[in-house]
Amino acid sequence: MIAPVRAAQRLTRRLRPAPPAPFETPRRRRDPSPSRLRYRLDRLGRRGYVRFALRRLAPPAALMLMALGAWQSATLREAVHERVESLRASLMDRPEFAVSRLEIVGGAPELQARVSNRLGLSFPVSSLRLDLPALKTEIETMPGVARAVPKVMPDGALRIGLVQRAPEALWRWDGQLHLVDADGVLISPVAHRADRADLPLILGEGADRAVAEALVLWKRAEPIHDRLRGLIRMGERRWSLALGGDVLVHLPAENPEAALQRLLALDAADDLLDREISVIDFRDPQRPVLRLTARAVAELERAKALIKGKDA
Amino acid sequence: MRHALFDSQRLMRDQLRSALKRGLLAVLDIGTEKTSCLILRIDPARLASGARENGALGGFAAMRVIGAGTTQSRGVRLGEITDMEECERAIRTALQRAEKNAGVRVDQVVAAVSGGRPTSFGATGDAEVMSGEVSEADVAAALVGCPEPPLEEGREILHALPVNFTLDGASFLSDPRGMNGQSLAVDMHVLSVASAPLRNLARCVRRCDLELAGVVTAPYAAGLASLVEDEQELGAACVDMGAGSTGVSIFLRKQLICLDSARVGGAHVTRDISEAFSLETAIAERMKVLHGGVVATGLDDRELISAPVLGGEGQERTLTRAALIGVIRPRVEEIFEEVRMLLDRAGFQGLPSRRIVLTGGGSQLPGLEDAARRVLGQRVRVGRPLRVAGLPQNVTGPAFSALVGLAVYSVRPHDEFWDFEAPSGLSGGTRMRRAVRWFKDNW
Repeated sequence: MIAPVRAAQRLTRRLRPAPPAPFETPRRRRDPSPSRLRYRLDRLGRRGYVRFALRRLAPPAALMLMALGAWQSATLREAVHERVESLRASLMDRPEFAVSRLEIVGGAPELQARVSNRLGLSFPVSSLRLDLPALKTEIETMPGVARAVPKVMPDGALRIGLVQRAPEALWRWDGQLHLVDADGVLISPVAHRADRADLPLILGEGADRAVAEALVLWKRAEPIHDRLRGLIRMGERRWSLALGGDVLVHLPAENPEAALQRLLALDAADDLLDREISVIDFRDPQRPVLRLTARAVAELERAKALIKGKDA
Repeated sequence: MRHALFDSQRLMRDQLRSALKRGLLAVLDIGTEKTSCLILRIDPARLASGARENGALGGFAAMRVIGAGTTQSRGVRLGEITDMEECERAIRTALQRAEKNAGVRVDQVVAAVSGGRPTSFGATGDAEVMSGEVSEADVAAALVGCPEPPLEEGREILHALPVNFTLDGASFLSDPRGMNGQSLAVDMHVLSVASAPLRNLARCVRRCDLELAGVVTAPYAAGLASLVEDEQELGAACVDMGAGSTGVSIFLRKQLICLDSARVGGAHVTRDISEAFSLETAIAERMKVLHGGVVATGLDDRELISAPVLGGEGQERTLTRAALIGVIRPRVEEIFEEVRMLLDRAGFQGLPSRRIVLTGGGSQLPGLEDAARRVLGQRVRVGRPLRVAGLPQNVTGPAFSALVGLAVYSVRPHDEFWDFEAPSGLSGGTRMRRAVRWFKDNW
């Protein structure tokens, strides 16, 4: 029998009147004999498998049925959802988790301002609501940022460690000058070449993908920095140097440093670059080719004629 | 005697054996006044080992009472069922209480029948021992050699106990199996009861979804529980004073040798009181239990008892205890006279020790022993049932001797006629014909 029924029986037993005194006619009591159905049920309940089913299987089954019923009813599910949400919110909004300010470390002040604008956080915010990996990827997609390390500090600050990209070259692309780093990643646009005269200018198709190569050449070409106007990527495989006075130096795709070395040596020995030359072609390392300017050719022809005439 | 007579007995024995193997058994005593039930848990391993060590009484250590239930009987008169419906309800109540108490479910039940006019017969049979050593088949042959008892119409054999074996003139053997000799004779005690009460009992029990695993006469069970072992050995009579009938069982050499019953008991005493003082039966019963006695003293004249008058609205009458005793005593003496008549008829005077043990609910009257001594002789005592492990305190009184005796009997039942293997009296041809018929019937 179930517990509440037992408790009720216990109560009624307590409320029952006292037993009759000797020789008082006892009250007519209820027949204590169980009905046939009751007797059969009782004995069925004492069978091993029935007991097992009632004790071990029925409670979990009832629980599962109840859970299923609750799941089926939309209002109940919503109520539970709401309650869970409010609980979660109250937990998140506790002052222990609050982040009250932003601290950006590293990078130029202009970049810091850009980052803080981009994040657009309104403080205070719960640290549980902040998605630090997402913040990190978002900041790192910004131009000029190499690496960002966001971290919630114990004093309630969101500290972002920034590593700025170092501008290594100027890239002219689509008529516009851009600062790029050693990996060829854009940093910011620049208005005039003169703003960053210290950096090499690169241009041409695919120039941004070979910035490292250009930088090596730039370093090698230090003696002629005053002449060197820029490096041009040709056919996405080799570099040409554009020098002052419309001089082009074609460097080979393989081992351009050796060719550059040779150019410098020629210049030092014979002042090659001071002569009237329009193109110096080092593409075939065995046979460098020079092309004179039109005026030089005319001058040469004149000189030749003079020599001929004198001879003649 | 033929084995075919005892098919139902053999079926009940099988039930009992399977219950003992399973280790759970209920015993049920449907008396005139109360219906009570015990549930026994039996350890089959200890039962088997106890039999080897301690003989017949070794089974008790393996038995434990785990539940008891008692309720008032209705629909039973003089130990016989008169209202099936009421009796069934009483059985259900008692059994359900006991099951609730024990927390188990039992299906096999051994019941006691207290009425039914039991009659004892003696029978003797003999047989030649086939080989030099007495085997079970020899015993069975000797038992089959007993003549049929003169059964009247409507009577059934309830017990057929081999009480004594004689092997080549050497008597007083309880079990001759394995001994050497040529001729084996057996004395058998056959007890018959009226079959109608027996059938009613079986039907009642079956209607309660129970299997009957044995039926024992109540005086026999009471004797098993209330006589000590030496009394059973030396010869003693157990007088089971029930409410509806008074049974007498005589034991000698640990065997039941005679059983009889008088159809008068404690309920008659109550009725006398009720009639003499015009009281309600329930109040008369209460007065008997609280104030009754058999021997009056001078003090009893001054002890006044007041009781409501039958049918009188709140009127009370006062009577002295001496008057009450004056009503009880003649009836008790009448019961003892009846008992003495039964004992004389059974030849109790010839036994070596003539102890008489009074038990049953009626034996609780104060001063009963003195009254019994005056009628039955000096060697009278009041006996309580044997102590059985786990027996609740309220079931240890003399009123429950028959119930406890049933438990004792069921754990170690006496080998009866039908427990010895039937010698196959069939010739080869008959067997063959039977086999063929069985195949025909089944396919």
